[in-house]
Amino acid sequence: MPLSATLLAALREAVGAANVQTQADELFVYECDGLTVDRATPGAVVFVHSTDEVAKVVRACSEHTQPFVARGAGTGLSGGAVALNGAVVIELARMNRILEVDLENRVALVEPGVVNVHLTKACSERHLHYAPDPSSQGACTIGGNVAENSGGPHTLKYGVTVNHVLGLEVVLPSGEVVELGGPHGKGQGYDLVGLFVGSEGTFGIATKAWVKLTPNPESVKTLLAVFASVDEASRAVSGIIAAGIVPAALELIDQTIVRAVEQWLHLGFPTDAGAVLLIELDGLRDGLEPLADRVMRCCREAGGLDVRQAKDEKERLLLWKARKQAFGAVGRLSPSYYVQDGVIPRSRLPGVLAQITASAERHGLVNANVFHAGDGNLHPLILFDERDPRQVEAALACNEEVMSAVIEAGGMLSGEHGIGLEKLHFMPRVFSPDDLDAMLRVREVFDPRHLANPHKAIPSRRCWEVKGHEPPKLEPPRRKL
Amino acid sequence: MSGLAGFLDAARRSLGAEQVLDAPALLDALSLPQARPAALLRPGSVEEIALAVKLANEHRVPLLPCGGWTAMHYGDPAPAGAVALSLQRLDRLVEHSPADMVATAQAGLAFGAFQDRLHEHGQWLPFEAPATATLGGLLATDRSGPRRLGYGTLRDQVLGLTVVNGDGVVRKCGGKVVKNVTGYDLAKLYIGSLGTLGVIVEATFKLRPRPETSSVQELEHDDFAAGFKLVRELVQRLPFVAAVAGFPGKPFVAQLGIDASPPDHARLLRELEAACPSGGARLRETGATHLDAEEFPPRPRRLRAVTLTDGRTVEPALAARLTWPAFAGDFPDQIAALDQLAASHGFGLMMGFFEFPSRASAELFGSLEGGEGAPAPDLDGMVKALRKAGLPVTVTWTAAEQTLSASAFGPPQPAWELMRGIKRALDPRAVLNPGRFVEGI
Ligand SMILES: Cc1cc2nc3c(=O)[nH]c(=O)nc-3n(C[C@H](O)[C@H](O)[C@H](O)COP(=O)(O)OP(=O)(O)OC[C@H]3O[C@@H](n4cnc5c(N)ncnc54)[C@H](O)[C@@H]3O)c2cc1C
Ligand SMILES: Cc1cc2nc3c(=O)[nH]c(=O)nc-3n(C[C@H](O)[C@H](O)[C@H](O)COP(=O)(O)OP(=O)(O)OC[C@H]3O[C@@H](n4cnc5c(N)ncnc54)[C@H](O)[C@@H]3O)c2cc1C
Repeated sequence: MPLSATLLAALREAVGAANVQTQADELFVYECDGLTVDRATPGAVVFVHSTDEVAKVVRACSEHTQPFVARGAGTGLSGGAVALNGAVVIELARMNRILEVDLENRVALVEPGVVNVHLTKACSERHLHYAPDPSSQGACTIGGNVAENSGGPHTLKYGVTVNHVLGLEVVLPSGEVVELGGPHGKGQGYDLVGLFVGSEGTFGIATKAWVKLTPNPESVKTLLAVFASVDEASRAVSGIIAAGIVPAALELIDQTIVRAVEQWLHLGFPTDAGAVLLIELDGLRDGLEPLADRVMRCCREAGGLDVRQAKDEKERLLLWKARKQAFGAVGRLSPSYYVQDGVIPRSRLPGVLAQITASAERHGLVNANVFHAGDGNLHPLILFDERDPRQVEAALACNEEVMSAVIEAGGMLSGEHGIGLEKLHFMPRVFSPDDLDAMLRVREVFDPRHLANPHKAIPSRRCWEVKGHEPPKLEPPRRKL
Repeated sequence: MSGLAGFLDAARRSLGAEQVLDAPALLDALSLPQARPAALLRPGSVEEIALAVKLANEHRVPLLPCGGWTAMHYGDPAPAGAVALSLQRLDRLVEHSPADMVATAQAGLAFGAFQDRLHEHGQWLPFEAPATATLGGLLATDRSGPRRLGYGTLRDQVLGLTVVNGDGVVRKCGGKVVKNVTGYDLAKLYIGSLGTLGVIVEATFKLRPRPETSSVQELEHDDFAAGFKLVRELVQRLPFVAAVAGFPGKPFVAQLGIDASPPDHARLLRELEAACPSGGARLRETGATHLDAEEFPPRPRRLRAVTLTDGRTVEPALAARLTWPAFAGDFPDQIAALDQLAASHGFGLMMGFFEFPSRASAELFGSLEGGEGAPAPDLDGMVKALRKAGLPVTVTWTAAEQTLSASAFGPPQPAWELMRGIKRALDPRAVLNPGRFVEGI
């Protein structure tokens, strides 16, 4: 769907012709995000450099009833940045300035295109860091993190993005600029900051964020616990949580992933292990040793074969490198993979993981696991070949079964990747039409015409209203849209 | 039949006459300057609450959701003829899964009773609050205690909510897992909404293990500025879970909360002792494990006597409480300015508090009869002057004789237009606590 000439002119006027792309070969790059199975061609891609430009672009879209979608680094894993119905992509990566770092009060003001890890680097000399640390932190943007309420390994102890965002400047879908909260937090009235975080770009575009900086811990211990099976490793996770221990991070990595990482990076991981736990403990140095002893006891009680401790910072960083490169390593095993993001009560880990493996086997596919086990946040990866339609079918069918297992265990659809496009059709299985209706009503306060990232996050009314309170049957949107 | 009479009639029929109370003695006992209910409803289930809200829509009767009635003074005045909707019969602990560190409770459950049940399993919600406050009331006011420093505020511990919105429809948001981005996080809206969007009927919380060692240390200093600076440095450097400093305080006093393993606890004590070698700083173990910002330092409601410049001592009565967000570095100047403005508006500053990391508050006394040449207390004028001076104060409590013409929450802000929209979306006929929140919401 080509954009109207008047809209194109308005966009060029707003940001300069060089910052508006409309050629097919230019748009191709913006067809999808990190989830490559869902694709759509944007109407145009607009590069913005300031709040003012964002406001002008959004106002132009609004005047032309033109849908638009914000985009950070495009690392999202739920199709959130896919431009449906020829939406205009507003690319924020160039708004990447750290505007203020207030070391005394431990807050920073950043533009949305700042890459997550750049903020930590900017204050690391002063022993501070930005706590939410998605594994993609070397590429993803703070704006994307805000939109998805992203997590990461250390959010087990330190909380997810919403716990670290104090205030936002937002361009509403009308083009109006508002401030929500500020350096002191949410401000008077309803907590619109907390509401905006995780709204997946459907309430408008965040153009600035006040975020908290967190002091680095005095001392850190990183353990690698080796198990014969995923089952035993996940029992150890349940045991550690039930013992009232809150590690800084508690990640499970299964054999498939360990082998893939090992073949690639040669870090000395035990490739014969069924699964390993990467456990990080931090705090004052005084209490750390006894805490590590308690954790090791939990691991041994669950059948742990061996628990090693990173002997120095170099070894610790290697362990984390392995964890953070895990998805990349999977790319070497299989042409495509589908990663899910369900969250379950932590006591249900062993059972649900077994169900997932059984489901993959039934469909003749390989399943791998590398996830934030301490939060109960699964990331089962289903490996398949996108070029083989039968495998695609099988992967999607397996995906449905995985989600069912999560829902039946009292879990939720997504812990950090968001609903996006890809999990929309599961929403009526965890929320009633009334629940969804409230979400849409709130959305319409910000965006009455559904121009901001339409058809994402919350299924539209027509999907469930027609059949009354019957859970609707939605076809999952697939491939080229 | 008038709206109210018709409503009460219908309520008696559907909830049972014994759950619709309007005896004058009871209503008098409940009456506050800011909220004088015309009746009290005691529904026994979520369905009955939904029914009551639907009836209120039909008869156009405003409702005041309530729990322990400990904070009904908070907010702008409620309209006349409103009916209180008590949650107190919804007081069940629905589910506690110790292995998952998660608990779900009905909103009318008292905070103290909830904690007791969690303690049986070595777990807790890391907060202090009055034992009779209900979970719903705590969520609606989002008045988190001093442990915010170590654990964040209440909103950071809520996983999911069930509410009855202003249209009488029961809705859920969030879930029972500790990390969740499934759908908009509407719980954030309800928390701190003062019951203006929905009646909270059930909540799921993320719990914490109870600390192995917990203590409250009191640090005294002869000099406010030096003492406050010392506390700031300690809080910056070491993981205290709570810290509250008092002003003016003669001597200056601060309380620091520690929740830690025994070795960490010992370490923090050593650090504290090392930080107060001499120079007017003293350290004292309080013997308590809890801090209470509203009762800090511990003292009776009627305050310690104040000595006037002419040598007389009087016992002043609390006249108002104010709060505002602040950075620690700005607090000393702000509270000094407030002290001066108070004096020129007929008040005295009883106590100022700073709860780290960012909440400041002040208690004022007024009506010092015979204070020489002192102006008559003028809360309205004082609050206006403070806001004009750039201190965005919220008035959280006033004595009956102190009236406020402006909103307790201050002048309208740009984002309030969105808030009004949200109010219309979730309470279309404005039956829940109308007029009590920002800008007439
Ligand atoms: C290898 C890999 C590992 C990952 N690991 C993690 C992990 O550990 N934890 C985790 O939570 N996620 C993880 N992710 C997912 C992803 O990185 C996060 O969702 C991230 O926050 C997306 O940021 P982005 O800048 O790439 O956003 P994009 O993908 O560009 O956009 C994501 C969504 O945010 C919206 N958006 C972007 N910027 C704005 C803005 N300024 N205002 C409003 N809306 C906006 C978009 O419209 C879209 O809906 C991983 C992804 C990959 C590829
Ligand atoms: C550390 C600490 C100390 C405190 N000390 C004091 C003190 O000394 N004295 C004091 O008066 N207060 C004190 N408070 C404040 C007060 O106790 C809290 O605000 C409390 O949560 C109120 O609970 P309640 O059940 O009594 O609510 P109520 O007083 O019954 O209601 C308070 C407000 O919440 C709304 N509300 C109540 N329940 C619901 C519900 N289920 N759904 C929607 N809205 C609802 C009401 O409409 C009202 O606006 C303290 C709080 C803390 C954290």
